[in-house]
Amino acid sequence: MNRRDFIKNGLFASLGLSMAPTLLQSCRKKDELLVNFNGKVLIIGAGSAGLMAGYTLQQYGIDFEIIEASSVFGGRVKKSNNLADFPIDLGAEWIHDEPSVLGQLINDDSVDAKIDLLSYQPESYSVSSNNDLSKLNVGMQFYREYKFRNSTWFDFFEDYIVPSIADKIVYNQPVSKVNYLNDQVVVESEDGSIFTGDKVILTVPISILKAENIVFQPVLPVDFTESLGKVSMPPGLKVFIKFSKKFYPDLMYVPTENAGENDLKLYYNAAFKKDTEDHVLGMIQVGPDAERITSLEPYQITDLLLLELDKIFYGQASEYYISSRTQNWSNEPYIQGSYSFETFESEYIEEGVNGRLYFAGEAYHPWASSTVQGAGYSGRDRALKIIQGG
Amino acid sequence: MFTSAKRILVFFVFLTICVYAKSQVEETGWNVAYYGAVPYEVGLKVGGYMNSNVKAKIDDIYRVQFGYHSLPRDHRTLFVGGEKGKTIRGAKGNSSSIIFGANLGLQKEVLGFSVGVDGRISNRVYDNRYFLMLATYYAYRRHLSKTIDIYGQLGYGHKFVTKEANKGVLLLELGITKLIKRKNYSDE
Repeated sequence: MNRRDFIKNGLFASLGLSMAPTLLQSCRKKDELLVNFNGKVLIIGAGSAGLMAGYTLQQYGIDFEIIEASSVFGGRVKKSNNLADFPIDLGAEWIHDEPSVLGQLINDDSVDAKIDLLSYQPESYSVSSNNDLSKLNVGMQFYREYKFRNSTWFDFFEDYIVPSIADKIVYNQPVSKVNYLNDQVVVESEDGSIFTGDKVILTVPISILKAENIVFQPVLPVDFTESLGKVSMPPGLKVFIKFSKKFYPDLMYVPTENAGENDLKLYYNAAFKKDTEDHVLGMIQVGPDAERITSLEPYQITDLLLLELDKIFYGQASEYYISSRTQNWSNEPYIQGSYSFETFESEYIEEGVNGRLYFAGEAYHPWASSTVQGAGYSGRDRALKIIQGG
Repeated sequence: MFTSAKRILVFFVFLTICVYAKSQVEETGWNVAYYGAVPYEVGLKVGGYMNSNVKAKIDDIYRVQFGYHSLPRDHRTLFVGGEKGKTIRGAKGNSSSIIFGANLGLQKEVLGFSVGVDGRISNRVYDNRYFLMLATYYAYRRHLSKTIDIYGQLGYGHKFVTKEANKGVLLLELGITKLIKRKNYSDE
């Protein structure tokens, strides 16, 4: 199920059920996998892919180090505790798969996890056109996903993945060079720090790769960079507005002014089925047209949205406004965008480059791209490839 | 939402009385069906039906139904309803019907649940909601034998639910009927 097309087409996604992931390799028990590597792996990026790669290597006793550019792990998995009485996902929010995917990521029978979720099937849906709201409460039955009820994706990683690898993560080390020419891989950060290993898994967002912030030695293969050019990661942001009263539907599609095929703007009840009395309206806008709003200051963005909501809801937005929180992913220096709109396809994804440089992330997974679990699976798959001597 | 509840309740009682008053007409039977809201819900619907005149090309059909359907991890629904419609008979006794119905029900909404590493679901948190659903159906019924028919029914229902916005649902029913009593029946 492609999330973007699903939401854009008014929630009438394909009726096929979510594919159960056939993680024949990834879910194999530890003692079933032949370990054929005893070196050290460098992992660039501590988002979902990087954390899962490290988590997997840890499970097999392989030495590794995760080099993170920012001061915190998670990448586009991020939360806020300050706006409401429940934690809010500032980045990835929906689970986009069956609840069992969380246990598959943990992949450890000894872990006693009981993760609270909710079934996300909006009870009211509207479409706004020229400030007129059309209530379309028909067809909600065709759409259902899951969300965390009292926690977030960030909490999931913090509780179940990071604890076993926390001491292997170094922060505030944005990578500027990757030298994989020789048997020893050398990674250099902007402040001159040097990291060495036998293999490297690069998990930075596609936008960072395309921005050529990292110099590779040798340069990446031509056909790899050509494939890279076919994947877009448009601008995007999320805004959460707290109100004293719920005057809006659970889900509202608002076409943007210059909306193209790949533009999406949705308002949604961020407190839907949460254990809370607060009323929080979330807004997500991604796509080329989002650049008009991502270039603004947070207070300007809030003012713009309140103005738009006031026109639709006859001034109720301003009347009931309390506070807001903006997460502008385009302005994040080590993200620079929302999420990949296409799946990156290249022979080098599976095989790596020169047997030393590998790639993982949400853009690389063949059937779960643009998802947290897709990024996690790809990180795990690269780690397993290395473990088995690939 | 329930400002018209009394009127709806009177209609439902009237419908039930009509069904009872016509218990001596041509054909009565029971039905059991798979029932649910397309595409995820599954459930069961049972009840009784009556056709007023099986010799006529067009006659009336009345049904009283009880049902249960659920969407795992989302809600469980129990309802009782009455239906009335027109049946148009085609060749070999097969028929099409347009039916209008009303259901009253209890919906146990799942506000949240827990999932373990093994994928098992537990600790469901429920909230009770009540609803009235007015629906329109199209049904196609086909003879299998002298006393047994199979049918498929597709419908649209509009639900008025407590604690939720009103909404429309698409409904699917696939079932069988079993004749109990028929008057002046001739095999065609």
